[in-house]
This record gives sequence, structure tokens and C-alpha cells, in this order.
Amino acid sequence: MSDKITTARFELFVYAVLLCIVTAIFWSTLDLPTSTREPLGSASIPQIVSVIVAIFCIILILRSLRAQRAAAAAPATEADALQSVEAKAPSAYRRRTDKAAICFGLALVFAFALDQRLVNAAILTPAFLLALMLVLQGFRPRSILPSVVIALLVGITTTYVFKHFFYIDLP
Amino acid sequence: MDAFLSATGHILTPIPLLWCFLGVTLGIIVGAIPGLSGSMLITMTVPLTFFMGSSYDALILLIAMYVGSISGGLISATLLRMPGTPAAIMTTLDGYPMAQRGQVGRALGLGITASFVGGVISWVFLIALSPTLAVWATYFGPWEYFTLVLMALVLIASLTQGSMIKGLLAGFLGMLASMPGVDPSTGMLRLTFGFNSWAGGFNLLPVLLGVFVVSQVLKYIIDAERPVTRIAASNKGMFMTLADWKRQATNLIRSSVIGTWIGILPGIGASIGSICAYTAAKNMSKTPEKFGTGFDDGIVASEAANNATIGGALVPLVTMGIPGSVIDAILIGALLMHNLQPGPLLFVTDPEVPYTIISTHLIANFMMLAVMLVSVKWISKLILVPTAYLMPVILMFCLVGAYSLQNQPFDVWVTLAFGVLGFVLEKIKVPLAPFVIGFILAGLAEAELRSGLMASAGSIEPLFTRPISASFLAVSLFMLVWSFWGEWRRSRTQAGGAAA
Repeated sequence: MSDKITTARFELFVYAVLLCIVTAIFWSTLDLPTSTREPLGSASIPQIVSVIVAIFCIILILRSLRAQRAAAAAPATEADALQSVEAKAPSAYRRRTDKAAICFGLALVFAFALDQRLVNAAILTPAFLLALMLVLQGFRPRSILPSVVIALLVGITTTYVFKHFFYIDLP
Repeated sequence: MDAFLSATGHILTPIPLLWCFLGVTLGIIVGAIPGLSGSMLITMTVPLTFFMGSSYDALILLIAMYVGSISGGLISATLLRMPGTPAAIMTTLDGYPMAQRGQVGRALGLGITASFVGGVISWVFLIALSPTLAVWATYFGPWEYFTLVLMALVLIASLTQGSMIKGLLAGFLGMLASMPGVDPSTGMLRLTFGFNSWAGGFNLLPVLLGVFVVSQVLKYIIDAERPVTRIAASNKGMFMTLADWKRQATNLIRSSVIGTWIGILPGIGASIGSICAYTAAKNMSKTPEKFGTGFDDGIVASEAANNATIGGALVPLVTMGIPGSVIDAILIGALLMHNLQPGPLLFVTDPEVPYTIISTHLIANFMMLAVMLVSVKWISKLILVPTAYLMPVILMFCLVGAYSLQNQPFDVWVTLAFGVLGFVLEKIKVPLAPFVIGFILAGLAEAELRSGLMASAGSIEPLFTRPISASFLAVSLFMLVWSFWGEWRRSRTQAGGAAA
């Protein structure tokens, strides 16, 4: 039951954000001058598409609100109870949203380091790989050595190939 | 004919054959690993193809990957009860129970052979229809192309599973995402919000890498601890007997034809083809109750159809430059990046390109059959490769690949941003396929609409008076109404059920 409400709330949030974005897009096209050479101009198509997206967002927001209200009003069903039991069963697995968030954070750091050319790619790439592997494996002594070997091997080879065979301007 | 023979002759030389073999093998491996897909592999390979020297070899590699990846999905569907690719979803219903009964080799063998037959039958359609359709498509004007793009978007939005509105939202969001930068018609900057780096717009490859790779890597990491039990592969009973061939002949042909025609419809991929063929096989069977219990017919129908969609989906790609599936959308992007404009004129200006695609499709199917029959036992051992080693490497390749496109860190940021967008959209069950197809086709739709309006002095009348564009429009409207009506009926039934 609460899962349904949380999902509906998350959907509501995403559609609201999308609605704000398309409104900003529509707003920004109002400054574009109309074309004298052809009938449409640069603004028309983005305006039409953003209006269509906005309409869909509004419909989906209304649907999410309705779903949220229905989920809150409906009594707990047998299926809901079964679901919650299943979630607690020993065969159920833990969803690692935390690990995904950390990995994405590391990817942002990697992108920033590439952007600012902070570190040589031959160091940056294996370090990035190793950090990701350790996050995913956990800091268990048994997994550290293979992670270091794979990270060094793949990271250095990739950097070498991209720099010297594909002539990519990596830092 | 000359172009076909020349393209086939080129593929049958050692280096292209090696690319084909590499593509098929990598495709099968990636297709077999749950969570990885052909679209991920092909997207990640596109930046590397710039360094291959020959656009033809690049195409050979990518098409071979396409064939391999759709076929590889059956391995994990049979051994893990997890489809390696969405296309193999129906194979799990009968493949896994059959493997559980101890007939692993038979389940795999039926799937592999059906995939091959489906591929070859769809190739016959591809070679027979493409040149004729391409000639027909040369008569298309801007209005026909504009309505064709609209129809593709509506079809993919209405036939992807889930809500039609969500499908349409994804398609139009994709269109919107392709618009920042210089307007090609007026030369004016639009939707850049003052960022100079946005002036060139968002390149297709970083968007694809984000939507298909980064988002999937994040999803895979979240579900990495899901417990799986693998049944060991076996070669025993892998070859179909004469009696099997006789019993399955009708099913093979019917499912392949269904798969091919579903594939031809713009924007619809292998999973829908597989579902339709499976349903048809079940409805026409004398023993429908056996479906889902490890029945030969179920595996054959699903696998023949999902492989047949490849040939079908390549028809609109080579003849009109319209993607038949998501992977075709990526292939269109790859062609554009190699300075090849997909569409009917390609048969006139550079006929070896479409014929390279067509010939590779056939040769890759033969190669897939050989590779799968010989090495399925070993490939099956790779399907449980530890996520902790695989995902970091994929993410790193993805980011370095995006950077290598133009030596610009901006593309890496775009990849990450679209990765988040893809992840969020999937989380709220907004399909990603219409998003990508909208992104790719928006430029074409806008350019054709502008040309049409300029030719008709601003009037949209030709949209309704030209027979082909009017029929495309009618199909789009019909699909819209039909899908909305279906959704409305479903919601009424659910509301009725809840009230009861």
C-alpha cells in the first residue's frame, strides 16, 4: 500500500519537474524572432512540442493524484499483505540504490577530472575502475587484489589504446 | 544485382568475415548476459567504428552484433529463467521448464535452430522487398516523410507495453531533447539557455550512451544482489531431428512471417514480434495447455519470431531511413555519423551500403548458428560474470567513448545527464525506445514539414490531399484512437474489479 503511494508521489514529482522544464522551454522560445523567409520560424516546432509534452504531463499528474488517492482510500488487500511478506522472505534481495548512487557520484568525479584535466588518464582511469569495483564488491580482503589487477590492466590498456591508436586527447 | 554481389563478395573476404565473426560472438555473449543488451553493445561500439577505416566494415560489425545479441538472449532465458534481452521474454516460459526437466540441450537446440530459420526467412523478405520499396519511397515528398515519422512515433508509443500516453510523452520528450542548438533552417540559436556549449546541440551518441548504457548500468547495480540459479548447459539433443522439422515446419514459417511483418512496422522491436508469434502459435495449437510448461512449439515460435524481426526491421531502415526498432535507430545514428544518409537514395548513390547490410544479415545468421551450436556450453559459463567487475568497465568505456567522439568533456556530461533521465523515465515506466526514436527522427520531421510548408506556401492541405500522406495520417489516427480506447476499457475493467 505505502509502496503504491510512494511510487505515485515519485511519478507526480517527475511529471511536475518535466512540466516546469517544458514551461521554461516554451518561455525561452518566445524571444526568438519570427522568420521572414519561411512560414514556421525557429520557435514554432519547439513551442508545439512543448505544449504537447505539457498536456501529457498534466494528464499524467492527474492520473498519479487519482492513483495516490485510491491507494490511500483502499483498505489493505490480501495481495498487499502477500507482497510485504514476500519482501521480507529470505530469498528476497536487497536493492542497492546506495551503491548505484555512490557509483554515479564517482562517475561525476571522473567526468569533472576529465573536464578539468586534473589527473593523467593513465592514473585516473584505473583509479576510477578500482573505486567502482571496491564499492560494488565491498572492502573484502579477498576481492581487493583481483580488483586492483583488473583495474590496472583494463584502465592502462584502454588509456594507451585511446591515446596512441585512436589519437584521443585524453589528459 | 551487381551491387549485391559486390557487397557479398566483400564480406566474404578475410577481414570483413573476421569483423562479422567478432560481432556475432560479442553479440551472443552480451545478449546472453541478463541486464546487458544489443543496444548497449552497439552504442558502445559506434565510437570505436570511426577508427576502423572502412564504413562498410563498421556496418558489418554492427549488423553482426545485432543478429548475435537477439539470438544470445535465449541462453539465459533457458538456463536462468531471465531473458538476456527483452526479445527472449517468451522463451523463458517454455525454455526454462524444459531445461528443468533435464532437456537443456534440446531447449537450446530448438531455440538456436528456430532463430536461424527466422533470420533466414526474414532475409528473404528483406532482399525481396527492399529494392522495390526503395524505388517506391523515392516518390515520397516532404509530406509523406513527415507523416511517416508521425506514424512511426504513434506506432511505437501505442505498441510498447504500458501506457500509450507515457509512450507518446517519451517520443515528444525525445524530439524536444534534439532541438537545442542551431536551427538548421534559419541558422538561429534556440533553447541554449545562454550556454555556449549547447550551441552544437546534443550529439546522438552521448544521448544513446546515457539512455541505454548509463541508466542500465545503474539499474543493474541496484539489482545486482538478486539471487539466480543457473542450470548447466549441455549439448545433448541439440540437433533437431527430421520428425522435429516436420512437426515444427508450419510453426517456424508462421512465426518467422509474423516476426518479419511486426519488424517492418516502424519502431516496433523484437519483443512484440515474439509475443505475437507465441500467442498465434498457442491459439492455433491443438494442445494450447502445454504452452508454458516446456513445450517445443513455444520456444520455436518465440525464437523464430524475435530473430525474424531483425530482417523485417531492416526493411524500413534501408529503404526509407526510418528505424524498425531501437537498435535500428542506433544504426541510423551510426550511418549518419559515418556521413551516410539512410534512405531510398542510398540505393542510387551508394548501393553497396544497403546491400552490405542485407548480405551481412544473412551471413551473420549462418555464423550465429555455427557459433551457438559449437560454443553455447562455454558461452553459458560467461552469463554469470560478476557485476562488480563488469559494470565498472562498461561505465568507464561509456564515458571515455563519449569523450572520444569530439575530444570534448561536454559529451561526457551529456552522457551522465541523459543516463539519469533514462533511469528516472524507466523508474516511472516511461519507455525509452520512443524517446530515442523521437530524438533521432525529430530533425527529419521538422525539416520535411518546413520543406512541405514552403512548397505549399504555408498550407497544410497536402497533408490530407496526397494519398500516401493521408493514409499514413489515417493509420496514425486509427492507432491513437484504438490504443486510447483500449486503455480506457482496461482502466474501466480494473475499476470495476476493484469495486467488486
